Amino acid sequence: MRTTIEQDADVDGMAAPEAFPEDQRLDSIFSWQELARLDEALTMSSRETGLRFTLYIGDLGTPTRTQAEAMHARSGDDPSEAVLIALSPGQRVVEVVTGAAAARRLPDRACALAVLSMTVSFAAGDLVGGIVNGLRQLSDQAGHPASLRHPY
Amino acid sequence: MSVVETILVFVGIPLAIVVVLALLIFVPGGRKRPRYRPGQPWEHAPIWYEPHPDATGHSAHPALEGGAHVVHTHTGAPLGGARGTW
Repeated sequence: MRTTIEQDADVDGMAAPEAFPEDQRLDSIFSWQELARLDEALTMSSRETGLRFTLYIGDLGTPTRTQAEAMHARSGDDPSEAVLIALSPGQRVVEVVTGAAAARRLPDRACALAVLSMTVSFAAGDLVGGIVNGLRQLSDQAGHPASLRHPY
Repeated sequence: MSVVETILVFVGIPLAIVVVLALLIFVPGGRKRPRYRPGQPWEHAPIWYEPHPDATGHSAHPALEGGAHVVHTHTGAPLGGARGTW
């Protein structure tokens, strides 16, 4: 017996939003526009810097730093070049974790500056704006990868 | 103008404008998603966003699905970053 989701998925590869139960819908946390902004910010930051930026939003347990670092280690093929932004709105904590190679280009003080502006936005209730601006600040600080720099 | 016309013009028109605006403001259902306010508990399931796979130069397959066979290259190198609360 095929379900509605499978039948719809055969048409164009995507299932209609109404096919999902309410809390499994992709836009249950953020609207489609907000998801598009997050996707663009993550992708552009990753593309411009060559580092892999990922974003986790959910509970981080206690202590939050340990959980964030464990997630960072699992975030991709090469955690050394990865940056994880772990956000726990329930605990009101944001952790930025940079791998060893990423930390050379994104020193802790640059991360602290981005985190400062992010927490100001979060305190005002603006999650998406805070994340997008934080990603922009981090990618500005990290600059372009060495291979793109011209040897002037 | 007669009394009726005066009342219609100076009372009726402003009243009609107020009624139309009230309908536009209060009748639409409102936000489907509750606005986030600090201090509220976070009820949603944890979610992890990654960039588009083409964005990073090296091949990056989804890591969380492959958790069982990912080789952990964690060499103990110190991780950097920052932390903030609000």
